[in-house]
Amino acid sequence: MAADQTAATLLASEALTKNFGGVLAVNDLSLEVREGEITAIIGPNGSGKTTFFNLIMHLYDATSGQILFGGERRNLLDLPTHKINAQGLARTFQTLRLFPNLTVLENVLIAMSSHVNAGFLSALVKPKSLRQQDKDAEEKALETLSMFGARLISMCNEPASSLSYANRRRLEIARCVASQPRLILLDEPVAGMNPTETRGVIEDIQRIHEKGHTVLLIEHDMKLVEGVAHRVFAFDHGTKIAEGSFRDVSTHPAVIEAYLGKRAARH
Amino acid sequence: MPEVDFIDTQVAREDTRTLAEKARDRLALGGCQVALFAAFLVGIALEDAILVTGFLLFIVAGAVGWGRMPKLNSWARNHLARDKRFAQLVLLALLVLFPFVFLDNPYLIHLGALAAIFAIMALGLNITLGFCGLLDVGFAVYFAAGAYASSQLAVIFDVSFWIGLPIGGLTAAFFGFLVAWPALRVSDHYLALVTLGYGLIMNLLHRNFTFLTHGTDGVINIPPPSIFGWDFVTPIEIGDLELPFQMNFYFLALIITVLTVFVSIRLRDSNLGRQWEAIREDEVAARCFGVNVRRLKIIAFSTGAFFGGIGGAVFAHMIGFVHPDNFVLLTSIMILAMVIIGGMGNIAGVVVGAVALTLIPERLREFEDLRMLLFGGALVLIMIYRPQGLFPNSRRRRELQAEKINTLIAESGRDDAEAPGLPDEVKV
Repeated sequence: MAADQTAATLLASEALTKNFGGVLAVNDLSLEVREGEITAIIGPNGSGKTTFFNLIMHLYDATSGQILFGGERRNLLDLPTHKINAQGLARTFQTLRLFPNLTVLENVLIAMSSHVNAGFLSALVKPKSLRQQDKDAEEKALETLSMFGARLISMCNEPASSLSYANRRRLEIARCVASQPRLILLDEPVAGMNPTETRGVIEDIQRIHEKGHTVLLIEHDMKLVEGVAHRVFAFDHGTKIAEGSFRDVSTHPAVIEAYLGKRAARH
Repeated sequence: MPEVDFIDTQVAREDTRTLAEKARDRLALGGCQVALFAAFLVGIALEDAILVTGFLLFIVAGAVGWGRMPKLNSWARNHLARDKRFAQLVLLALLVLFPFVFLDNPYLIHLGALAAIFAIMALGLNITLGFCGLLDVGFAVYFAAGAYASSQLAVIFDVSFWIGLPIGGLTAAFFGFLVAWPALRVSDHYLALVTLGYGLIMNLLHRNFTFLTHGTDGVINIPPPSIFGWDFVTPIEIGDLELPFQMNFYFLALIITVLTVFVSIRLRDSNLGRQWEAIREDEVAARCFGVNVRRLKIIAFSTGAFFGGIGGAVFAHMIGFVHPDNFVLLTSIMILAMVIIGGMGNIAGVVVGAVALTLIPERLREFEDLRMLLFGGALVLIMIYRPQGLFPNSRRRRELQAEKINTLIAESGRDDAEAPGLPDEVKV
């Protein structure tokens, strides 16, 4: 899988630092995610991967540094969380965060409609144009759900809480795709899945990529990373310790040391 | 948050019933409604202490039993869903009929009006708590704001009730906004405590800001609403029959309740309502998908408060007297209990909760000191056996076309080897 060296930078973190009361969760982190690639972040637990995602969505305030997005290099840390999705970013969560009592379809609809028309008057009057808009949104939502074959769409009127674990993860991905982002952030998309299901998710990620979304994912499952990632970043102690193709990174001494300790790295 | 249960409806597409079947279904449905209503009438007309206790036990047993009979439950729900319009019309007819049954007992009509006023307020709190998941334990603040604003406008400035009513609502909405702005930095239990404190402080102000509220003297001589010179305390006469003037207030409150129900339904089914529910379900996820949580929470708070104020304004002009004792912590808790016992988020449930919690304590007056003990006992029993409320929140299923979904599946071109066998017809 050759990475396209000429691709433009979509997301750039510059000297990003997050200090949790003395613990440096992210430490002077600089990296660039290229448009059109699937990029993976690996690293031991506590190395700052999820914190990095939370900083991108501005769920945390950074201690210092910038996160620049898109051609206009907008600093995401200047935007409130609810405006980041509209910039073209959507994420999944390591611990699932669906809307459990809303239906599968409604879960997707939220992602599509949150920046349009939450008006009070239009809710009361319910003009014709709005009804048409609702119908169109519903159709598009169903189309997005059909990305996973029958699995989600056949449950579209059931509460999200009634889905199986793997399908909940799929719904999280569908919800991201529905918001039409340029960059999709996947936080451990196959955590807790069996090998068959993992293979399915690999296909799904490639499918999303083919649709033109750039993907940045955090994953511990090396099979998945090897299978999909064009480029890999390895994190340790909140900073990037290696970067490159999966092969380069997985044999990098610093990465082996981070996972297995100093002695293993010497061999 | 309460578990939401889902209505089993194969509704929507086409009504394939023959005329005879339709008539039979509607007769059964209407019959059940009339029977339930008759039981309700008997219940509120009871005077004897032992009979009242018996009736109360009957209600609790009914509420508990209802939850234990899922078959009966889904039967009723299916019937209701199929003939929704019809059921609504029957219910409305029965509610219009109600005061005519008690022409010789105007007190009961007055209670009916009071129940409707509390239903308006409970529906308001339902927007804040049921839709958006924000626990507000100071709802009496908005009740008071509406009552004081509209009554003082009428008493001091001679402003008509019809102008005072919306101003009362808006004043209350402002008080909702006032606490929401700072309080929404915190959530859950902390928010409950902040609103609790707000309610206590405001009640102290009601007692001490005498230039605005007349303190513990209360606002007196509040004029009744009037239309074209006819005021609401003048009984309407039809031929020889003189209808008690309480009926005027009953119908006023009923109309406003129906409007509030309509607004609640529209809000719930709108984009706004869906975003509120998203906040209730998972605030972080909602924010990450573009929901402006802070703004929507403030809207939810103010909208809920608005209806609290509307209820307050009607209350003030009906009773003709406003006193700080009307707006104590117990009032807030009663309104909260109406929403929780009825079923958070369920509009019909909340109205039933409001009616029950207004009427039951009144009917228990025979017991004097034992009144609150019995009432509390009934609440405990219901919460033990029906923690999700009498009518749990239910999701509206969308009417989707099975064919379209099946086409979409086929087009997706995925043969899901490990997916469970597809149902022949997709459930919609």
